[in-house]
Amino acid sequence: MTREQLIEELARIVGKEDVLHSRRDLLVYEYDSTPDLFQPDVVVFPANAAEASAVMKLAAREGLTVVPRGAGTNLSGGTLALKGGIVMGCSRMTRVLEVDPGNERVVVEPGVVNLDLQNMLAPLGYLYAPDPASQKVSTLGGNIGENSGGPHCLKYGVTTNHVYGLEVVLHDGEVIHTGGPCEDNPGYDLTGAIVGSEGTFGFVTSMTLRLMRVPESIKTMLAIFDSLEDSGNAVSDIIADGIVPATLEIMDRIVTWAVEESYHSGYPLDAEGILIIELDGLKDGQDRQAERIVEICKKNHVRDIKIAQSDAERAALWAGRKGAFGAVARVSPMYSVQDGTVPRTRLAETMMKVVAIAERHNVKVGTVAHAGDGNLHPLIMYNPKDAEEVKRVHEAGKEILKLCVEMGGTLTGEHGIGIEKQDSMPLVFSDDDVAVMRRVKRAFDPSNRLNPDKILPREKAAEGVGV
Amino acid sequence: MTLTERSLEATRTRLAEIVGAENVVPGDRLSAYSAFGEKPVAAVLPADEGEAAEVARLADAEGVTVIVWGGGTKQSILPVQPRDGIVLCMARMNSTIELDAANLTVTVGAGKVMDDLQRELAQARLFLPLDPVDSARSTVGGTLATNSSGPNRLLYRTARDMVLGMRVATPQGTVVRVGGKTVKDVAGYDMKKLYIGSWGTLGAITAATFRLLPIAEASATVAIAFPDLGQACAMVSAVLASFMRPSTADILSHAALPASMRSSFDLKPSEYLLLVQAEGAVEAVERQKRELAELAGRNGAREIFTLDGADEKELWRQRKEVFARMPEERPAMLIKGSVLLKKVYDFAGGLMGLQGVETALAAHAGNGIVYGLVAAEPGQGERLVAAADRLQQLAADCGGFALPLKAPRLEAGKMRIWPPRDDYGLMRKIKAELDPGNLWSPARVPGGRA
Repeated sequence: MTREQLIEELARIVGKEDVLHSRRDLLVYEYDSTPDLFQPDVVVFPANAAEASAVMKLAAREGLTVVPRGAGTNLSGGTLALKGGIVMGCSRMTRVLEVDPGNERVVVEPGVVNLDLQNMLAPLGYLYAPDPASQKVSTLGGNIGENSGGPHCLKYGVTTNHVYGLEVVLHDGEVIHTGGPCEDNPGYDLTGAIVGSEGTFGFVTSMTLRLMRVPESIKTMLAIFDSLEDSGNAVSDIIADGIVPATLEIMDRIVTWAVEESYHSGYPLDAEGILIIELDGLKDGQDRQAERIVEICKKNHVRDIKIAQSDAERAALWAGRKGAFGAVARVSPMYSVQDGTVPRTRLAETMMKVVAIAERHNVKVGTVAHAGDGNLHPLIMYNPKDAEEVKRVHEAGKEILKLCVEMGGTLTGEHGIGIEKQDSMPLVFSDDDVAVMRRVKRAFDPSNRLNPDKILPREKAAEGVGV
Repeated sequence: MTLTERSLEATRTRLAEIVGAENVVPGDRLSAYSAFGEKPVAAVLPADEGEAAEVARLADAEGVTVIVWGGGTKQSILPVQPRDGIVLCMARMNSTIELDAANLTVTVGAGKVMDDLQRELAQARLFLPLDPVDSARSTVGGTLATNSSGPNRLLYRTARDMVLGMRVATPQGTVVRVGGKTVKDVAGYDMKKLYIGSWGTLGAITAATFRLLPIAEASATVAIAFPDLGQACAMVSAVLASFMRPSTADILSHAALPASMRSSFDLKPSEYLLLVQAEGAVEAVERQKRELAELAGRNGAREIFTLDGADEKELWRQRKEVFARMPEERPAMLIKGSVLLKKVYDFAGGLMGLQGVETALAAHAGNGIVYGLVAAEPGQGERLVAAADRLQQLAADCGGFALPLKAPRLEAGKMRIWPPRDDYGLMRKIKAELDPGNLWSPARVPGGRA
């Protein structure tokens, strides 16, 4: 089949205007938030499961690869069309199909933007817990693909903890329904396997998500430290005290400075570590818990700690944190973001070692972290035109990953493996571990056409080269 | 596959070489590992994951079926799995590998008994919020393999929300790591989810790492006697719609309760008991006690009891006796319904209204999970089959499904065990990839044998 014939066939399925194929149109789909570029042959936007299934059948017949895509905010190269082929976008599937607070469920299509759902639920007194920093643009379909996290995961878990069921188009066009609106569905937890599979198992066409009641009371606190170590110790001490805040976020001096430049959230520019701590739940007892946190922070030499007194103040505190990546991008248009995770008690130590690694490689790094989860995002800034610097950034990044693993952690907490970290997989997983994953991939995608050659180490890396 | 006597002898010899002769269960004691009225051909207790993997390699080489065994509490759950193979009992792998209190994680061997684990954790003021009713005997590995949970799943959810990592002996005889020990981890496929609830069909879980929680500062249980089921269900809906976040909302019928609980709450045969547990800060628990009592009054409660301290602990200990044993003198079935939250009353009411049988009810009402015990007069086992069919219909009408868990073998053979789904085909492909010889609990493959 020629490219022209393929375009024609796809147009017959989804309509002419929902097949993109001009060089100019494809430019928009050749990248995500990672530096590499791969142009697909064609981009197609099905309107529903039936159209997605027809596209998948066509791809199966012609042996073409299919790469699912949400909003393209991916941070590990998971949405890049490595082998060209078809990119299948979900931007026409934007309906909220069913809002059912009484059953604590909502059914949505994959193209719904995370924040749009939140805004729709808020007046009803409900929320969907996962809140990745990209939530203004990232789609729920993309969130499912990446098993996205966010600041509020400490208490409520990540995406997979809030998905009850999926409608999925498989590699051969078959449409199946995993999980369901009720709990404890019989058989294997396919929903759990698909969430976080980075589009390598199928194309999700609708999802049943879990709603939670909004908490009665939220208390947001900002604690400013003169040393990163003190702020990290405060995090450990708060948890050790038996308090489980909804969030515990940490920012270092460089990120704080970048954020303040953009957002004017009122963060002091000379702080070495800033914590955002949020308690939620019933209002009863919350004041006492907040006081206890103040005490713990004081014991760890906090310079200043304040509690947001209004929704506006709370929003201002959060605007800075949620805009951290963007703020760093204003300072340095290109940066490489790491996503390692370490046991919480080793976070401060890890963050300080990251600074040492950056110094050794002569690169500039700022770190923001979901401290309660031990999930850190060192942002290594660079000039893409400086080939020598790019190389040093790469080296520093690899060393940071290795460090996280040595600390008892892992390669990625919420951004995924994609292509960026696939060759680092052997740092964590043995050949036997990976072999089992390969078997599961084969069960879902026997001809390796769904977002191929992602996540699992490339064969040469599996033999120990290139790590 | 059935083994001939001669090859069986050879297999036993090989097993003894792997685990030591003293850890191969002698023939006269094999009945301890029977289920569905059948004894396995052999049973072994490996000391560690290496030995477990070696048994897996032996089974693979000889084409022998493997049945993984933890505490044995779930071996008689349907579907019937014939005992035509080796039982791989994990009981000896019961050590605590690492308790990292500061990071709120624990790693334990699969054979660790759940209550033993909780006792150890309590010394560090921690707990694992997973409370299957058979925790006195059930093991960590068995709890995960069967995806067991208990009353407190309302707040803390189920195994999939607590397991950070596992080690698994595969049908190929390798030992693999899945996940790790951090709360957030998206490195590679989330294999943990496939092994949780896999019922030993994909290999043997040999160890698991959990996230833990600090024991709450305060706790109280409000026990409410309601004259009818509708009132109890309405109360649960009101609790879910409130700002309260209790850890349990169980509804129990009179017949389900052990005698001790019936008398402590002076429950009448037609009444229902609702148990709502609140945990958290002292002030928050006090507030919930008040609010729950108010809501109960508004929903027609006959009497409201508030328990804390030792009384509360004793209540939840007795709660574990509910449906712990099946009646022996007459045919009985245990069935589990899972329905939409708003349909709990419809399903539970349908269960309690079944004609020609006696029924009892225990529901995690805030999760839409309803367990029913259905008993028929001797010689009227057919009525169980009809009841299962009726309840499966009803559950489907309520947006969910019902699974018969226990029934006499004759009647079970006439029941539809697996509810209709369109994803069994993919599950079978996963089973075929991970266990190509189809040797690990083959009768438990989801959807039944194709």
